[in-house]
Parts: sequence; C-alpha cells; structure tokens
Amino acid sequence: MQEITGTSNKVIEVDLTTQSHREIPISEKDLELYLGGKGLGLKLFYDRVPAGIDPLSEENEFIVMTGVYLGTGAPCAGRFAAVTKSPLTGLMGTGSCGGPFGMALKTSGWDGLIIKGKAKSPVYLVISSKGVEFKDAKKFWGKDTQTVQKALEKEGSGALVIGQAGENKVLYANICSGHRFLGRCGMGAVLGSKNVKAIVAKGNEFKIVPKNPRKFDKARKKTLKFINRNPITSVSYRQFGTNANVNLNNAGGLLPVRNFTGGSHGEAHKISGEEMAERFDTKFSTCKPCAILCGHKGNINGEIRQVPEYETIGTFGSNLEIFDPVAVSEFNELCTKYGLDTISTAVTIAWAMEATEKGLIKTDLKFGSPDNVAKTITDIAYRRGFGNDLANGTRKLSQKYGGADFAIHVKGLEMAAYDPRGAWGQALSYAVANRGACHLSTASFAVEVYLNMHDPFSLKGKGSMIAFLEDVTCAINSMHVCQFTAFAVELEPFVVKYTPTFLLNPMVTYLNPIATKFMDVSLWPEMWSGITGKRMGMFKWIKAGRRIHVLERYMNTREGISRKDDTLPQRFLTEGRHCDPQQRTVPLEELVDSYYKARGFDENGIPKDRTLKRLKIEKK
Amino acid sequence: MIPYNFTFLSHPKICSGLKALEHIPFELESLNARKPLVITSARWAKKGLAKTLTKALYDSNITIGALFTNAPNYPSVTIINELSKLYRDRGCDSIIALGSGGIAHIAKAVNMVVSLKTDILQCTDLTISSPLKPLICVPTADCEGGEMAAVAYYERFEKQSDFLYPDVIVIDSRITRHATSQEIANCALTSLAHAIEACGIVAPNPINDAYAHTALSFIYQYFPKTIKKPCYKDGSVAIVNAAACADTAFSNAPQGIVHTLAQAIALDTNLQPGIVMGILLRYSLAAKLHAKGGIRPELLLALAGIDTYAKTPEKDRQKAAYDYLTKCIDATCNYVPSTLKGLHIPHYKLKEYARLAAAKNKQHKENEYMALLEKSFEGK
Repeated sequence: MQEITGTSNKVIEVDLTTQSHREIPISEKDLELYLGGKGLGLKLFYDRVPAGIDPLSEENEFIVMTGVYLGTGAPCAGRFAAVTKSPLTGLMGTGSCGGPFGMALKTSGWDGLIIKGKAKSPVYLVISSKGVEFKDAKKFWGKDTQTVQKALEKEGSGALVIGQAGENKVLYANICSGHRFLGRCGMGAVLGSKNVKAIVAKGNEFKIVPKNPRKFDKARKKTLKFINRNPITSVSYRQFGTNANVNLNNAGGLLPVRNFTGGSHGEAHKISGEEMAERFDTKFSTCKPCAILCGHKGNINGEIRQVPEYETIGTFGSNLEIFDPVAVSEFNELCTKYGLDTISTAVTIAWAMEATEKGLIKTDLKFGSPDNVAKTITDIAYRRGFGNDLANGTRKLSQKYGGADFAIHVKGLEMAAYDPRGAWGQALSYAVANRGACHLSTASFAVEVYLNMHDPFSLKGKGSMIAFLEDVTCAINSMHVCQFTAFAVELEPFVVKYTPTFLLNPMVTYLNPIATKFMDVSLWPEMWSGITGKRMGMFKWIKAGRRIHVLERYMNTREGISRKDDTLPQRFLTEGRHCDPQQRTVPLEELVDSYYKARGFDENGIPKDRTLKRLKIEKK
Repeated sequence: MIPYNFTFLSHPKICSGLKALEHIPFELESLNARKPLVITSARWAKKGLAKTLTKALYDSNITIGALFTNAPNYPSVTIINELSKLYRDRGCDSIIALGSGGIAHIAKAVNMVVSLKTDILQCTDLTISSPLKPLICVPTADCEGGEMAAVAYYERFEKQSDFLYPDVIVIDSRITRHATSQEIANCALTSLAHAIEACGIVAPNPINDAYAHTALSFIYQYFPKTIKKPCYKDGSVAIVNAAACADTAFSNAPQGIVHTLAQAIALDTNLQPGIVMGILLRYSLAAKLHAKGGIRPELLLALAGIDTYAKTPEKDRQKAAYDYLTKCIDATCNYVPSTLKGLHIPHYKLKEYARLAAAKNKQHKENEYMALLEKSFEGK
C-alpha cells in the first residue's frame, strides 16, 4: 500500500454538469491558516462561490473535507466535515460526521471533495485515487438510506447517501454515512437538488503516516490517557452514551419539555442513558476510530437498533412529552431511513403540536401522544399534505401560519435539546452561532451546568467565554476530532484539574479573558504538528480557530446576517418556567453586546475591517 | 374640483405637543373609562416611559387597573390571551398602548377579545359592528406603520375594521424622543411610502390627500434633522404626527405595491419594513415619473410649499416633486442602503417575494411586483 505522509494536499473537484473531475491543490499556507476540515472547507467555499446564490441551484457547491487527523490513529478522529450553503437557513451550513466515508475518501488519496453543478438524472459517484465514476442511480431513487448503503457496500469502504427526504428537498434532510449523519442544515436537500443519491469512496488505497511519528505518538498517548481518566469520557458517555445528559439536564433545568416551555420533568428518568443502558442491554456502536465510545446500540423491542442520541431523545422525547424510549427509537429509525435531521424534525413537530393546541392550525398531533408522529415523519419525507409545509421548518411555518413566538429556531435552524434559560452562556451561544441554534458551536452548557466552571446566570465574562469556546470548537472541527475529547484535553491538565471549583468558578466568571489564557489545550496542536511536520503553537492554533469562526461570520454577513438575526425565540426572552422559582428569562441584549466587543464586531454584529485584517481574511 | 364621489373616515382624536400626556385623564373620562390596562415593553419601561405616563395620571380620578411592562414586539395568541385575562381579572375598562409596533397591535387585539367577548382567532372572522372599549395610543417614534390605522396585525392575521382606529392618539415629546436614528428612519420611510401610495390612487379623495400631504410636509421639514438627532423634541413629535396622518390615509386607500412587497420581504428577512419601503419607493417613483400618469404634481405643493409650487412651471412639477422626495429618502443614506442588494437580499428570493405579494394583494400582478423588485435590486 502506498503511503501519504501528513496530508495529500489535494482535493478532487467533481463537475456534475459536465461529468468530469479535476484535482485542486491545497496550499501549505491555507492549511496552516485554516488547519483542515471545516476551516479549509469554508475557505474553499469562500474563494469559489459568490454570495447570494440559491442553495438549491447548481451554483451551490457541496464540499467534504477530511481533516489532518483522519487515518493517522489520532484518538477520536474518525470524523470529517462538510460545508455548503444551507437551504434551511440561507447561510453557511457546516456539519461533522463520524461515518466511514471520511476514512474511505482520505485513504483514496484525497483530502477533500468538491461537488459542483447538477446531474441531468439521478447519479451516484464512485471515487478512487484515479478519479470519479458517474453511475446511474435511477434504481436507487426513492429508496431509503439503509437499503442503498447496503446495496453499495461492495463499491467502496464508505458512502454518503441521501434518503427520500433529500430527494424531495426537505429543507432539513440529512446525509447518512454508516449509522452517522451530516445531520443539520439540510445538506441532504443540496445533494438531492444536484440529483446525487450517493457518493462512495473506494478507500484502502493509501496509508496515512505522520511526518513526525515521535512527536505525534507522544501527544496521542497523552490524549488517550486523559480520555481514559476523565469521568465524562471514560464513565458517563462510555457507559450511558450521550443520553447521560438527560438526568444532568433535568436536574440543571436544561431539558426541553413541551416545546421548550419547561426545563425539567418528573418522568425524564425513563428516557435517561442509565435507564436505557439497562433496559436495552446496550453495546458500543461508535464512529471509527473512537476512544470514548459514546455511540451505542441495543436490543429494542427484539431488534438490534442504534440507541437514539441525546438530541433525538431530548427533542422527540421530553420536548414532545413522550417518555417512551421505544417510541422515540421508532421515530429515530424512520428519520434514519428517510434521511431527516431528528432535531429539526422533532422541533418542527413540537411547533405543530403547540400551534394545534393554540388553534392556529388543525392537525392530529398532541403533546404526550406518540400517535400520528410516525405518519407525520413520513409525510414530511415525502412532502405529502401538511407534511409539505412541515418540510420547510419552523421559520417558514411561522411565517405562513403565525406562532413565531414558539417557533424554536435561530436563523432558521431548529434548536438542539438544551433550554437556553438554564444557562445564559448557552443562550448567547445559540443566538450568535453561525449556523443557527447549534449546540455544538460551544457546548457552553457543559461548562456552566455540568462542570460548574462559570455561573450560568451571571452576565460577567459570558461574551469572552463564548468567543473563546467558539475559537476552540472551530479549531477542533478543523483538525478534525470529536468535540467530546474537549472534556479530557481541557479538563485533565494540571491547572484546571487541581484548582478547586470554588476558586475556578469565580476566576472563569470574573477574570474570563485572563483565565482562558491559562487553559492548556496544547495537545491538539501538538498532534497536528506531529502529523504535518509544521510548527503550530497553542495560541496560533486558537487564532486559527478564531479566523475560521470570523470568516464564517463574515460570509454570513454577506448573506444579510446582522444583529437583528442574533436573537432567540421570543419564548426565551419573555416567558419564565415552572422549574425556575425565579422565572428567569434571557437578558440577551447585554450578552450580545459583550460578545461583539470580545469578537471585534461593530455594534451591528459585522466584523470590523481591522478584525478581518488581523486575522488575514481578505474582504470581498 | 370635487370628485364625483369618495368616502373618508378618521376616528382618532390627536392630542399632540406640550403636556399632551396630561390630557389622558380627561380623554379617558370623556370615553367613560376610569381604569385602564397599560401595555408597554420592557425597553420603554426601562427608559422610564411608564413612570412618565403614570405621573401624568397622578392628579386625576384615573386608577391604573394593571401596568404590563413586558409586552413583546410580536403580537402572539399567547400574549393576547394573557393580557385579555389580566384585563378581565383586574376589572379594567379601557386600554392604553404605550409604545409603537407590536405593542399597539397587541392592544388592539386585546381590545377585540375583551370587547367582543370571544377568542382572538375567532375575532379574525367576525365583523365588528359596534365600537370597542376605549383605546388610547401613546406612540413612541419607532412606528412600523399601521399602529394608528384601522387595522390590527397579530400572528399572521390582518384584521381591518373602522372600529380598530384608536380613540385617542397622544403624541408627547417625553415619549417620542427615545427612538434611535434607525427607528426614526424606519418610521419616516414607512409614513412616506404609505402617504405617497395613498394619494397616488386612481380614485381621487381630496380629504385623504390632505392627510397624506400633511404627513409628507412634516417628513420633509423634520426628517433630515431628526434622523441626525433623534432626541430632537419637535422633530420626533412631527415624525409621529406624520405617522398618524399617513396611517389614516393608509386606512382610506387600498394597499400599494411598495407596502405589500416590503411586508413580504420584512417577514422573511427580519428587516424593518420601512427600510425596505424606502428602497422600493425610490424605484417605484422613478418608474412612475416616466410612466403614463406620472407623479401627482400636487405632491410638490405638499413638500415645497405654495411659493415653490407656484414658481415651478407646470411641466416641471412632477420632476420637481420627484426630486424633493428622493432628497428626503437620501437623508437616510447613512442608515439605509440604496438597493436591495445593499441590504444583502439574495436575488434568487425575489421571485418568492413577488409571488407572496401577488397572493396577498391582487391589485397588482406578479410580474409588476417582480419588475419593481428587479429595478430595486441593483438600482437600475
């Protein structure tokens, strides 16, 4: 087998209109400035695609980037990133997936893939080191993701597949790879609009080796040690999966209940990770490679199925007041087959339930009842009846029928399963996140509620904390490595681990910009450096993360985003909750002001010229 | 020459200027009300406007039934029901809307619910056949259009009725001087668009024209200075007076192409409708100038006064009126871009906006909407 040392620094560009392909080189400078993965994907998109295009037109491009870590044996690095313009938000859409396609693409000799144009009829692509084959996908059109993946198993070692939802351009259709997804922002609809049913990568043609194996191995071993001793990565998530969050969120007032009207519920334990691990006799079923092992499968109703992740449990479970994990698993399976994002699907259904309750629309959907939910999911995937409206997401629905106050989205993207009234940093993070109400932009809820490192209801230090976490998260997603490794890499080094919480909390809250400087996240850049052979210090690495975040923001401002869009649904700004005796709501304006200041944006949320210049972002 | 026939209705009494707030007790008592529900937003409460209002009621027989200071800008069923319940629970007999935008529309919707004794969604289909409970509007200068008109917007419904006019509009500089430049721009451009569209209709209506012309005159005189200095007392009072006149004119005329398109765009983009109206109006006027019928020369009289109007040769009056209007719109150049592209509205969305507008207002065809959007997109 041939070897790639470090990265191949080449991307394959596939033109669907002309059915041709060509090789695009990645410059060393861009790799250093944007790290790989999401960062490089965004840079490529910025350089190639003008602002203002229709996301479902052939002008839009779909970019997959594998990242530097993939294939090297770095812990939890079985992930790849995708970048496109989202049809759901009309903004930059980014995604991260732990399916086998990334590894297959990288070991086919490519660091990334760019899809442009539009095929005349349904096709699937087979990518190898030699290039791309265009194959007729008519026989797969109308088939679900699992059937098609199975049929394509022999064509390569990893695939990206859309389901019926993507074909019908449901605005939150996802893309499936193995049992993992490019879940958010409607990337499935983008592939559907291009008539691409699947992309297969042959894989196993190249072996990836680091340029500096000793340096890499040292950092890798230390990271593994940290992962195996951190209680969240080695106990909670490993034993109970991401559903370990259910009980934590229920206690912390973060659990979405009844379309985000409440933050906790007495029956929440029924859908907790602890309960499901016992009830379904769960086993590991994870991204590959993985050291945390949070993905689980189990025996659900006599069938071996993937256990729904926390976001699915939170949005289809407590948020619809359905505390039956078997029912939620059924909905999860349907979404998997049709290729639907579970968060957007469930939050849209929750909107429909509340709108029905309030008399704005007439449906058979009701909180607490699983009846008709499965049928609604199918209607959405096929855009049948009212499903055609639901397929456009909560923003469009509320524009048509009203109910904007309980349409739980930011910038068009439905909110993940953390109630922002339970942690104001998370609230700010949702409001300003580049792709919409995204929990992965910072996962600040963990810092505030799980780890008690920052007072969740203090205004102090929130802006700079969110900016810092965004920078780190962007860098992580560009390496590209699992975000859960942050628990180990950020919390296990000496200073954070051995400083008592009663000291750490006020330090992080009141001295935030200084406190974050003491945070040691050097293991990530060390591994990057070991693989690429280039020098990369911790502060340079964080600055690269900042560059990626600000570039994405700048790209979004070219699509019309400004302060008016950095907001939360009215519910979080005016309605208190029963679980909170103080009936707190989010004081968003102050939070956003402090964030803009920390970020170097003007009062309207536009990156200042000097901010762009400092980050070497060329203004267009 | 008097037209063959026309109809006109303006219900509200306007109390404007010095100590206008102190008129409220008298006005309430005239309306046989003594216990109002006061609705305002957290922003205005924080700025002390609720306190200013309650102070004005001190030496009177008026008792505030309830003071609600957390009204959102979006008139949802939830908030309307909540406030209707509050109104009933506290035994209120009238409503004071302190603020513009959603606050005024929430107040109107609550008034329908408590007066008609039914659910807000049922109100949508009911014909209102008798006066509602007394409603006093105390607008701030961030008007979005329609607050003082015979219309209520809630959720995605638009309810029109002659009984939806407020009974009294109180315009006081202590209340109007707190808006930002951007909000002043939004208010003035909305009023400008409403006034021009109201007096540009085929069927002549001289009284409606008088209201529209008054609005234009106020805007032309005060807007350029007020946008630079939003706390300018006389300016903010004049701008809100212009909004009140424009709303009346708007209520007595069919909705125009600029209004309909701007509403469709604002709904999708979160932009303020007035800002979009300002852009569309510029190109709509330019198109009218070269079209048959053109711009009404009387606009020049309203904008420039009798001397300039008399001095301008008849054939040049349309062009002169156009120049005056664009000068007015140009005053917003630091706050509002001159094209839709400048607002970052993507070109691929124009078709959708034209379709939505055509579905809502059938007086114009989809291609007419599209033509205006295309012109406004790049400023051609």
